[in-house]
Amino acid sequence: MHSLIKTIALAAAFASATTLAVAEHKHAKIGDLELKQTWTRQTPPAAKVGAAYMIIENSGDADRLISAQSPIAERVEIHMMEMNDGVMKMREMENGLPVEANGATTLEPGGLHLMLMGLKEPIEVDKMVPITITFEKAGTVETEFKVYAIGKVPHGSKAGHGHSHDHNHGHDHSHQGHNHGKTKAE
Amino acid sequence: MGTLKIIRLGLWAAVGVIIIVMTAAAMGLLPGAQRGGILQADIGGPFVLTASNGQQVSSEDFSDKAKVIFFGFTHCPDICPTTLVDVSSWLEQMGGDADRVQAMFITVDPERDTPQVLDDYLSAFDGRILGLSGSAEQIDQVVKDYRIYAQKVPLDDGGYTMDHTATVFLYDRDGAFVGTIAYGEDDATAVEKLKRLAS
Repeated sequence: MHSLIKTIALAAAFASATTLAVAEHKHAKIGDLELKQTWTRQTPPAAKVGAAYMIIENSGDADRLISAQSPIAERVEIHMMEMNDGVMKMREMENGLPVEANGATTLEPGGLHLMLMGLKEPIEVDKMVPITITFEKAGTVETEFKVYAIGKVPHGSKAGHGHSHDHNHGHDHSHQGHNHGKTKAE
Repeated sequence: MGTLKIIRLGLWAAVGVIIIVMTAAAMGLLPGAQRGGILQADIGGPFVLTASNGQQVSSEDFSDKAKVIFFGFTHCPDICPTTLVDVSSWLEQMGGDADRVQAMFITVDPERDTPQVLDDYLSAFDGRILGLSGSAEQIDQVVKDYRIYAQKVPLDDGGYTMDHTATVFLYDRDGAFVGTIAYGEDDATAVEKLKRLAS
Protein backbone atom coordinates (compact mmCIF):
# COMPACT_ATOMS: atom_id res chain seq x y z
CA MET A 1 0.00 0.00 0.00
CA HIS A 2 2.76 2.35 1.01
CA SER A 3 4.68 1.80 -2.19
CA LEU A 4 1.52 2.37 -4.24
CA ILE A 5 1.07 5.78 -2.66
CA LYS A 6 4.72 6.54 -3.32
CA THR A 7 4.33 5.55 -6.95
CA ILE A 8 1.25 7.69 -7.39
CA ALA A 9 2.98 10.61 -5.72
CA LEU A 10 5.98 10.16 -7.97
CA ALA A 11 3.80 9.93 -11.05
CA ALA A 12 1.93 13.08 -10.04
CA ALA A 13 5.17 14.93 -9.43
CA PHE A 14 6.51 13.80 -12.78
CA ALA A 15 3.33 14.81 -14.57
CA SER A 16 3.30 18.25 -13.04
CA ALA A 17 6.99 18.74 -13.75
CA THR A 18 6.40 17.83 -17.37
CA THR A 19 3.46 20.19 -17.58
CA LEU A 20 5.55 22.96 -16.11
CA ALA A 21 8.32 22.24 -18.55
CA VAL A 22 5.88 22.44 -21.42
CA ALA A 23 4.50 25.71 -20.09
CA GLU A 24 7.98 27.25 -20.03
CA HIS A 25 9.43 29.34 -22.85
CA LYS A 26 8.60 28.28 -26.34
CA HIS A 27 11.61 27.30 -28.42
CA ALA A 28 11.50 28.13 -32.09
CA LYS A 29 13.83 26.88 -34.79
CA ILE A 30 14.31 28.16 -38.29
CA GLY A 31 17.24 27.27 -40.47
CA ASP A 32 20.37 27.59 -38.37
CA LEU A 33 18.65 29.82 -35.88
CA GLU A 34 17.11 28.92 -32.58
CA LEU A 35 15.01 31.43 -30.65
CA LYS A 36 15.26 30.82 -26.94
CA GLN A 37 13.90 32.33 -23.78
CA THR A 38 11.41 34.41 -25.70
CA TRP A 39 9.75 36.70 -23.17
CA THR A 40 7.98 39.99 -22.81
CA ARG A 41 6.96 42.19 -19.93
CA GLN A 42 3.52 42.85 -18.55
CA THR A 43 2.44 46.40 -19.38
CA PRO A 44 1.08 48.90 -16.89
CA PRO A 45 -2.48 49.99 -17.63
CA ALA A 46 -2.76 52.59 -20.39
CA ALA A 47 0.71 51.72 -21.73
CA LYS A 48 0.73 51.82 -25.49
CA VAL A 49 4.07 50.12 -25.93
CA GLY A 50 5.72 46.92 -24.84
CA ALA A 51 9.11 45.27 -25.17
CA ALA A 52 9.98 41.71 -26.15
CA TYR A 53 13.27 39.96 -25.57
CA MET A 54 14.99 36.71 -26.55
CA ILE A 55 18.23 34.94 -27.28
CA ILE A 56 18.95 34.09 -30.90
CA GLU A 57 21.40 31.23 -31.22
CA ASN A 58 22.95 30.93 -34.62
CA SER A 59 24.83 27.80 -35.58
CA GLY A 60 25.36 28.97 -39.15
CA ASP A 61 26.26 32.00 -41.20
CA ALA A 62 25.52 35.58 -40.29
CA ASP A 63 21.92 36.64 -40.77
CA ARG A 64 19.78 39.67 -40.02
CA LEU A 65 16.48 40.13 -38.21
CA ILE A 66 14.66 42.44 -40.55
CA SER A 67 11.07 42.65 -39.39
CA ALA A 68 8.47 41.43 -36.94
CA GLN A 69 4.71 41.50 -36.52
CA SER A 70 2.25 40.74 -33.79
CA PRO A 71 -1.52 40.58 -33.76
CA ILE A 72 -1.59 42.54 -30.50
CA ALA A 73 0.34 45.53 -31.81
CA GLU A 74 -0.08 47.90 -34.71
CA ARG A 75 3.55 47.41 -35.54
CA VAL A 76 6.73 45.93 -34.14
CA GLU A 77 10.07 47.68 -34.50
CA ILE A 78 13.59 46.63 -33.68
CA HIS A 79 15.16 48.97 -31.14
CA MET A 80 18.39 49.42 -29.30
CA MET A 81 18.95 51.30 -26.07
CA GLU A 82 22.04 53.01 -24.85
CA MET A 83 22.83 54.69 -21.57
CA ASN A 84 25.31 57.58 -21.67
CA ASP A 85 26.06 59.68 -18.61
CA GLY A 86 22.76 58.83 -17.00
CA VAL A 87 20.72 59.58 -20.12
CA MET A 88 18.85 56.73 -21.77
CA LYS A 89 18.48 56.84 -25.53
CA MET A 90 16.39 54.55 -27.65
CA ARG A 91 16.77 54.21 -31.39
CA GLU A 92 15.16 52.16 -34.10
CA MET A 93 17.49 49.85 -35.99
CA GLU A 94 16.21 50.69 -39.41
CA ASN A 95 18.48 48.22 -41.17
CA GLY A 96 17.47 45.42 -38.89
CA LEU A 97 19.49 43.57 -36.30
CA PRO A 98 22.61 41.71 -37.36
CA VAL A 99 22.67 38.15 -36.08
CA GLU A 100 26.28 37.07 -35.85
CA ALA A 101 27.44 33.75 -37.26
CA ASN A 102 28.04 30.91 -34.85
CA GLY A 103 27.06 32.86 -31.82
CA ALA A 104 24.26 34.18 -29.68
CA THR A 105 22.55 37.54 -30.07
CA THR A 106 20.73 38.63 -26.95
CA LEU A 107 17.79 40.99 -26.72
CA GLU A 108 17.44 42.05 -23.08
CA PRO A 109 16.30 44.93 -20.85
CA GLY A 110 18.42 48.03 -21.19
CA GLY A 111 19.63 46.90 -24.61
CA LEU A 112 18.17 45.44 -27.76
CA HIS A 113 14.48 44.67 -27.88
CA LEU A 114 11.52 44.23 -30.15
CA MET A 115 9.26 47.14 -29.45
CA LEU A 116 5.58 46.48 -29.74
CA MET A 117 3.90 49.75 -30.63
CA GLY A 118 0.29 50.76 -30.72
CA LEU A 119 -0.75 47.96 -28.41
CA LYS A 120 -4.28 46.82 -29.12
CA GLU A 121 -4.57 45.21 -25.72
CA PRO A 122 -2.52 45.21 -22.53
CA ILE A 123 0.14 42.55 -22.16
CA GLU A 124 -1.06 40.43 -19.27
CA VAL A 125 1.07 38.38 -16.97
CA ASP A 126 1.32 34.61 -17.51
CA LYS A 127 -0.03 34.88 -21.03
CA MET A 128 1.85 34.18 -24.25
CA VAL A 129 2.22 36.87 -26.91
CA PRO A 130 2.53 35.67 -30.51
CA ILE A 131 5.17 37.42 -32.59
CA THR A 132 6.19 36.57 -36.15
CA ILE A 133 9.81 37.29 -36.95
CA THR A 134 11.46 37.52 -40.36
CA PHE A 135 15.14 36.91 -40.94
CA GLU A 136 16.82 37.95 -44.15
CA LYS A 137 18.25 34.50 -44.87
CA ALA A 138 16.50 32.03 -42.61
CA GLY A 139 13.00 33.21 -43.38
CA THR A 140 9.92 33.77 -41.25
CA VAL A 141 9.04 32.04 -38.03
CA GLU A 142 6.12 32.49 -35.67
CA THR A 143 6.60 31.93 -32.00
CA GLU A 144 5.27 32.93 -28.59
CA PHE A 145 6.71 35.22 -25.96
CA LYS A 146 6.00 34.45 -22.33
CA VAL A 147 4.75 37.37 -20.25
CA TYR A 148 6.54 38.16 -17.01
CA ALA A 149 5.33 40.58 -14.35
CA ILE A 150 7.07 43.96 -14.21
CA GLY A 151 10.21 43.47 -12.19
CA LYS A 152 10.51 39.77 -12.93
CA VAL A 153 12.92 38.31 -15.45
CA PRO A 154 13.58 34.81 -16.71
CA HIS A 155 16.13 32.76 -14.84
CA GLY A 156 19.62 33.79 -15.84
CA SER A 157 18.54 36.88 -17.73
CA LYS A 158 20.15 40.23 -17.03
CA ALA A 159 17.63 42.38 -15.27
CA GLY A 160 19.59 45.54 -15.86
CA HIS A 161 19.67 46.02 -12.11
CA GLY A 162 22.19 45.18 -9.48
CA HIS A 163 19.77 43.63 -7.09
CA SER A 164 19.05 39.96 -6.77
CA HIS A 165 15.80 39.63 -8.63
CA ASP A 166 13.06 37.11 -8.07
CA HIS A 167 13.44 34.35 -10.60
CA ASN A 168 10.37 33.05 -12.27
CA HIS A 169 11.34 29.40 -12.03
CA GLY A 170 8.16 28.31 -13.64
CA HIS A 171 6.68 26.75 -10.54
CA ASP A 172 3.98 29.24 -9.82
CA HIS A 173 2.05 29.52 -13.02
CA SER A 174 -1.19 29.87 -11.16
CA HIS A 175 0.02 33.08 -9.51
CA GLN A 176 -0.43 36.53 -10.85
CA GLY A 177 2.98 38.20 -11.10
CA HIS A 178 3.86 39.81 -7.81
CA ASN A 179 3.72 43.56 -7.54
CA HIS A 180 6.08 44.89 -4.94
CA GLY A 181 4.58 47.05 -2.25
CA LYS A 182 1.06 48.23 -1.95
CA THR A 183 -0.70 48.64 -5.23
CA LYS A 184 -4.06 50.01 -6.14
CA ALA A 185 -6.64 47.32 -6.58
CA GLU A 186 -6.08 45.49 -9.83
CA MET B 1 50.88 105.69 -6.47
CA GLY B 2 52.38 103.83 -9.40
CA THR B 3 50.14 101.87 -11.78
CA LEU B 4 51.77 98.61 -10.79
CA LYS B 5 51.04 99.29 -7.15
CA ILE B 6 47.38 99.98 -7.93
CA ILE B 7 47.15 96.75 -9.89
CA ARG B 8 48.77 94.84 -7.06
CA LEU B 9 46.41 96.37 -4.55
CA GLY B 10 43.46 95.52 -6.77
CA LEU B 11 44.58 91.94 -7.10
CA TRP B 12 45.03 91.54 -3.37
CA ALA B 13 41.59 92.99 -2.82
CA ALA B 14 40.18 90.49 -5.26
CA VAL B 15 41.94 87.66 -3.43
CA GLY B 16 40.45 88.98 -0.21
CA VAL B 17 36.97 88.96 -1.66
CA ILE B 18 37.42 85.43 -2.98
CA ILE B 19 38.53 84.20 0.42
CA ILE B 20 35.53 85.80 2.10
CA VAL B 21 33.13 84.38 -0.48
CA MET B 22 34.55 80.87 -0.22
CA THR B 23 34.40 80.94 3.55
CA ALA B 24 30.82 82.12 3.40
CA ALA B 25 30.00 79.39 0.93
CA ALA B 26 31.63 76.74 3.05
CA MET B 27 29.60 77.99 5.98
CA GLY B 28 26.47 77.76 3.86
CA LEU B 29 25.75 81.43 4.11
CA LEU B 30 25.31 82.07 0.42
CA PRO B 31 21.86 81.89 -1.15
CA GLY B 32 21.49 78.66 -3.10
CA ALA B 33 24.23 76.99 -1.07
CA GLN B 34 23.41 73.37 -0.41
CA ARG B 35 23.85 71.45 2.79
CA GLY B 36 27.43 70.22 3.01
CA GLY B 37 28.42 71.61 -0.37
CA ILE B 38 30.80 74.30 -1.42
CA LEU B 39 29.33 76.39 -4.23
CA GLN B 40 27.21 73.43 -5.37
CA ALA B 41 25.22 74.03 -8.52
CA ASP B 42 21.69 75.29 -8.07
CA ILE B 43 19.46 72.37 -8.95
CA GLY B 44 15.82 71.97 -8.16
CA GLY B 45 13.28 74.61 -7.45
CA PRO B 46 9.62 75.35 -6.80
CA PHE B 47 7.04 73.97 -9.18
CA VAL B 48 3.33 73.89 -9.85
CA LEU B 49 2.08 70.79 -11.61
CA THR B 50 -1.03 68.67 -11.99
CA ALA B 51 -1.24 65.45 -10.04
CA SER B 52 -2.64 62.26 -11.50
CA ASN B 53 -5.89 62.87 -9.64
CA GLY B 54 -6.33 66.10 -11.59
CA GLN B 55 -5.51 68.39 -8.69
CA GLN B 56 -2.99 71.16 -8.95
CA VAL B 57 -0.08 70.73 -6.56
CA SER B 58 2.92 72.85 -5.74
CA SER B 59 6.29 71.84 -4.41
CA GLU B 60 5.32 73.67 -1.22
CA ASP B 61 2.78 70.93 -0.52
CA PHE B 62 5.67 68.54 0.12
CA SER B 63 7.78 70.71 2.39
CA ASP B 64 7.36 68.21 5.23
CA LYS B 65 8.90 65.32 3.32
CA ALA B 66 12.07 64.48 1.47
CA LYS B 67 11.48 63.87 -2.21
CA VAL B 68 12.40 60.96 -4.46
CA ILE B 69 11.91 62.04 -8.04
CA PHE B 70 12.02 60.09 -11.28
CA PHE B 71 11.45 61.70 -14.65
CA GLY B 72 10.03 59.43 -17.34
CA PHE B 73 7.15 58.86 -19.71
CA THR B 74 4.57 56.14 -20.27
CA HIS B 75 5.68 55.34 -23.83
CA CYS B 76 8.91 54.10 -22.35
CA PRO B 77 9.00 50.31 -22.73
CA ASP B 78 11.75 49.38 -20.37
CA ILE B 79 13.47 51.89 -18.06
CA CYS B 80 10.35 53.53 -16.66
CA PRO B 81 8.34 50.47 -15.68
CA THR B 82 11.41 48.83 -14.20
CA THR B 83 12.46 51.93 -12.27
CA LEU B 84 8.93 52.36 -10.94
CA VAL B 85 8.85 48.79 -9.74
CA ASP B 86 12.24 49.34 -8.11
CA VAL B 87 11.00 52.47 -6.34
CA SER B 88 7.95 50.49 -5.21
CA SER B 89 10.22 47.81 -3.82
CA TRP B 90 12.46 50.33 -2.05
CA LEU B 91 9.47 52.02 -0.43
CA GLU B 92 8.35 48.67 0.88
CA GLN B 93 11.81 47.88 2.20
CA MET B 94 11.93 51.20 4.04
CA GLY B 95 9.03 50.18 6.22
CA GLY B 96 7.78 53.09 8.32
CA ASP B 97 10.55 55.38 7.08
CA ALA B 98 8.74 55.55 3.76
CA ASP B 99 6.26 57.96 5.37
CA ARG B 100 8.97 60.59 5.50
CA VAL B 101 9.62 60.63 1.76
CA GLN B 102 7.43 61.47 -1.19
CA ALA B 103 8.09 59.49 -4.35
CA MET B 104 7.19 61.26 -7.57
CA PHE B 105 7.01 60.29 -11.22
CA ILE B 106 7.17 63.45 -13.30
CA THR B 107 6.46 63.03 -16.98
CA VAL B 108 8.77 64.54 -19.57
CA ASP B 109 6.05 63.90 -22.16
CA PRO B 110 3.04 66.00 -21.07
CA GLU B 111 1.64 65.86 -24.59
CA ARG B 112 0.74 62.19 -24.27
CA ASP B 113 0.94 61.72 -20.51
CA THR B 114 -2.09 63.55 -19.21
CA PRO B 115 -2.94 63.24 -15.51
CA GLN B 116 -5.50 60.57 -16.39
CA VAL B 117 -2.97 58.53 -18.35
CA LEU B 118 -0.54 58.77 -15.43
CA ASP B 119 -3.26 57.70 -13.03
CA ASP B 120 -3.95 54.55 -15.05
CA TYR B 121 -0.29 53.83 -15.64
CA LEU B 122 0.77 54.21 -12.02
CA SER B 123 -1.95 51.90 -10.75
CA ALA B 124 0.47 49.10 -11.60
CA PHE B 125 2.92 50.36 -8.98
CA ASP B 126 3.05 51.37 -5.32
CA GLY B 127 0.17 53.72 -4.61
CA ARG B 128 2.48 56.12 -2.80
CA ILE B 129 4.21 57.17 -6.02
CA LEU B 130 2.66 60.46 -7.10
CA GLY B 131 2.28 61.06 -10.81
CA LEU B 132 2.79 64.62 -12.00
CA SER B 133 2.00 66.19 -15.33
CA GLY B 134 1.29 69.74 -16.44
CA SER B 135 1.32 72.15 -19.32
CA ALA B 136 4.26 72.09 -21.71
CA GLU B 137 5.55 75.28 -20.04
CA GLN B 138 5.28 73.90 -16.52
CA ILE B 139 7.06 70.68 -17.45
CA ASP B 140 9.70 72.59 -19.42
CA GLN B 141 10.38 74.69 -16.34
CA VAL B 142 10.79 71.69 -14.05
CA VAL B 143 12.99 69.91 -16.58
CA LYS B 144 15.19 72.99 -16.74
CA ASP B 145 15.29 73.68 -13.01
CA TYR B 146 16.04 70.07 -12.15
CA ARG B 147 18.71 69.84 -14.82
CA ILE B 148 17.02 66.92 -16.54
CA TYR B 149 17.87 65.93 -20.08
CA ALA B 150 14.67 65.34 -22.02
CA GLN B 151 14.64 65.30 -25.78
CA LYS B 152 11.90 64.38 -28.21
CA VAL B 153 13.19 62.03 -30.89
CA PRO B 154 10.97 61.32 -33.89
CA LEU B 155 10.36 57.72 -34.88
CA ASP B 156 9.86 56.50 -38.40
CA ASP B 157 6.10 56.12 -38.27
CA GLY B 158 5.43 59.70 -37.20
CA GLY B 159 5.49 58.96 -33.50
CA TYR B 160 8.30 59.85 -31.13
CA THR B 161 10.27 58.65 -28.16
CA MET B 162 11.98 60.68 -25.45
CA ASP B 163 15.65 60.48 -24.63
CA HIS B 164 15.76 61.25 -20.93
CA THR B 165 17.79 61.18 -17.75
CA ALA B 166 17.20 57.81 -16.17
CA THR B 167 18.41 58.67 -12.70
CA VAL B 168 16.34 58.90 -9.53
CA PHE B 169 16.91 62.23 -7.76
CA LEU B 170 16.87 62.78 -4.02
CA TYR B 171 15.90 66.12 -2.48
CA ASP B 172 15.54 66.98 1.19
CA ARG B 173 12.54 68.58 2.89
CA ASP B 174 13.72 72.08 2.02
CA GLY B 175 14.06 71.14 -1.63
CA ALA B 176 17.83 70.98 -1.56
CA PHE B 177 19.47 68.43 -3.84
CA VAL B 178 20.98 65.62 -1.82
CA GLY B 179 22.01 62.93 -4.26
CA THR B 180 20.97 60.34 -6.81
CA ILE B 181 20.25 56.68 -7.30
CA ALA B 182 21.64 55.59 -10.64
CA TYR B 183 19.76 53.34 -13.04
CA GLY B 184 20.76 49.79 -12.24
CA GLU B 185 22.14 50.69 -8.84
CA ASP B 186 22.24 47.95 -6.30
CA ASP B 187 19.06 47.54 -4.26
CA ALA B 188 20.71 47.55 -0.85
CA THR B 189 22.60 50.75 -1.63
CA ALA B 190 19.45 52.42 -2.90
CA VAL B 191 17.50 51.59 0.25
CA GLU B 192 20.43 52.81 2.37
CA LYS B 193 20.39 56.15 0.56
CA LEU B 194 16.65 56.44 1.03
CA LYS B 195 16.82 55.61 4.72
CA ARG B 196 19.43 58.31 5.15
CA LEU B 197 17.25 60.70 3.20
CA ALA B 198 14.31 59.92 5.44
CA SER B 199 16.22 60.39 8.67
